[in-house]
Amino acid sequence: MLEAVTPLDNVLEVRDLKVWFPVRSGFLAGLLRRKEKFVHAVDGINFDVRRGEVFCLVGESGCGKTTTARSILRLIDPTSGKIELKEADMATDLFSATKETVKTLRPKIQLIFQDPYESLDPKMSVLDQLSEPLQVNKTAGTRKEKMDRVFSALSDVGLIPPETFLYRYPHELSGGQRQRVGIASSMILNPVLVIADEPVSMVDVSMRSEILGIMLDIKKKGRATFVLITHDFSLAWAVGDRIAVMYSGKIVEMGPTFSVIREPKHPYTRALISVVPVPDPTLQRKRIILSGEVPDPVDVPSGCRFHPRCPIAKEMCKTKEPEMQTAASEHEVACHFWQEPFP
Amino acid sequence: MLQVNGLKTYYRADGGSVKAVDDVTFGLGEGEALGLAGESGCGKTTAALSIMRLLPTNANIVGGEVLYKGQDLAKMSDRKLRRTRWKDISIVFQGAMNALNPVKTIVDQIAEPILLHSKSSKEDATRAAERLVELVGIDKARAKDYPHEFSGGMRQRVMIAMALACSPRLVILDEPTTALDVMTKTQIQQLVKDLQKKLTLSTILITHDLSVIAETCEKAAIMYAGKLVEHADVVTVFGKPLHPYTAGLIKAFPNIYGSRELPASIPGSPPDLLHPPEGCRFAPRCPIAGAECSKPPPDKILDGNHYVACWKR
Repeated sequence: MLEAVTPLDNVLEVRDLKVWFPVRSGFLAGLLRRKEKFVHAVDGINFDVRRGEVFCLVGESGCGKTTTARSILRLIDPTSGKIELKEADMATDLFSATKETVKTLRPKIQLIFQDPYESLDPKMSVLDQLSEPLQVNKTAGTRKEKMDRVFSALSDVGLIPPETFLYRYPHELSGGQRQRVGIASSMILNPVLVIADEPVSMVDVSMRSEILGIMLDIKKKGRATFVLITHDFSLAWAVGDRIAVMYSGKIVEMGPTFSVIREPKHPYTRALISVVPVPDPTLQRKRIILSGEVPDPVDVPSGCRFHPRCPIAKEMCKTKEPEMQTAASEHEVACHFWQEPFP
Repeated sequence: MLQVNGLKTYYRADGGSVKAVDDVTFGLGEGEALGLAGESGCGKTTAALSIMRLLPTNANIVGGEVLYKGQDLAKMSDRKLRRTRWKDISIVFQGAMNALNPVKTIVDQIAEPILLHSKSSKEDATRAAERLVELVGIDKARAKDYPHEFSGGMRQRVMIAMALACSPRLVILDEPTTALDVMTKTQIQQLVKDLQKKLTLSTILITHDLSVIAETCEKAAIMYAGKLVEHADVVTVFGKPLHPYTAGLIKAFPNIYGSRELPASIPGSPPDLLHPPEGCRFAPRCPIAGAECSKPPPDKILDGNHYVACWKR
């Protein structure tokens, strides 16, 4: 796997994670005992998240990125694998952990939701929203302690002065402010790992940077590590330290942001990068437009899952699944022919 | 071909009228692609719906004219206007690909506007619909499939085929690629571009995503808080933006061909359109605003054809 990393540097280690959902079949099929089918949402992925970084999981819808995130949070139960959360003196496998253990670990792994219009309770004031996690986890003793933490959480996300926001309800906030409250409530328990699932896709472009800036600030102060889930390479470009590209439940390429975006190795990544939207009408570039669509996760193609759409696929790709191989420093790719010339 | 002059569309609301589109002027020629951009709530969709008068009941066109081939659509009788819709101007609504009728095959749904707007027989309409299915890049063998058997990108193709059913000259596309994945988005963009050339269509593309306009349109119009702030060809708008809002919006997009940094944002948020500022609506967020900006900005045409509404230019 990745070299020169002592295990302690990682906050999270994911090994051979699989999440399969059974496909509900009809009554008759059940009687006839047809073979049960599964949606292979995540199908054996490996990655590490290093302390203090922004790790990006990038891919199109249905590639399994959100399912991966939900497994880390144990909001769904993975089928097999290992998800290890590493702290200074202990490591806990979230896959085999009991419900009680998961509960005690909840404050340490938090989620920033995509849609600030749906993730906040319309009947809760900002103060209630932020105190709830403190009460549930019984972390703030006195009222003063609670207020202090709410105040500092609000200042951290740039809602200043905090006292003017305490008694506001979500409908009295703009989209950007709502997302800030969302981040504040994810950060108030001082989590070790924060999973941000498309945190700015519902925020207007002119305000996105402010929201991302808050995350980067928290990261720079060393207060949390982030896993950013996005479909947008330009977002990963702006804030990510490392990128893992997913396709049909697999990681196809992983490496440092610069290297993955400027020197992509996998044909899928190459194609995606070549069509990343750029607001420049004079830009001349060769766009690789893939035909077809992401495969059906119930019936994944044999061999390399990308072969039906791949411009450089050969016979071997139909039968043999490619393994991760090192292509450059810390840069891995799962393709048999990544070294071949690309059209 | 289309000339919108001083268009004003207001919504009735508690406490007054929301000036969603306030004195907007733009035009487009035969075969031209215009991109209408702005953030949520800037009035771009309302402006587009006003062209075809497809507004919700609490909205009214209170001023201005919409000239299509010399006729004012804003004042036309309902009956006459109905004949213009689909045949002359059609629209692909935002998110409409999710509103296809689940119990009708796509070929029947595409044939429907043809049957309603022309005197063709059921067979002729079906044949025409089949040709359209092929035109938008769907395998003819799938014409009798139902919407649930199609992916998002394919359903958007169906919507485009439907919009083309009565051979319109102008197609309005409201956020046609917004919910789609980047590869599918590129496929659809390419399709629209190809169709435009093949059929010499004029298009108005409404989107919040400037890069889509940069990649597919010839002209760009930028709206902010109900006002048109800048309008010129795309190379000029993206290369030499004159309005501080346009400049800020372009800079707000991260660019994978640029340096790796957080793009600049525009502090603040758009004004309440129930009580917009009296002067320039962007002034409270503008980095170069001065005393004169408390008065409505002048309409300026610079360098021949570059419209900008700003005191400072």
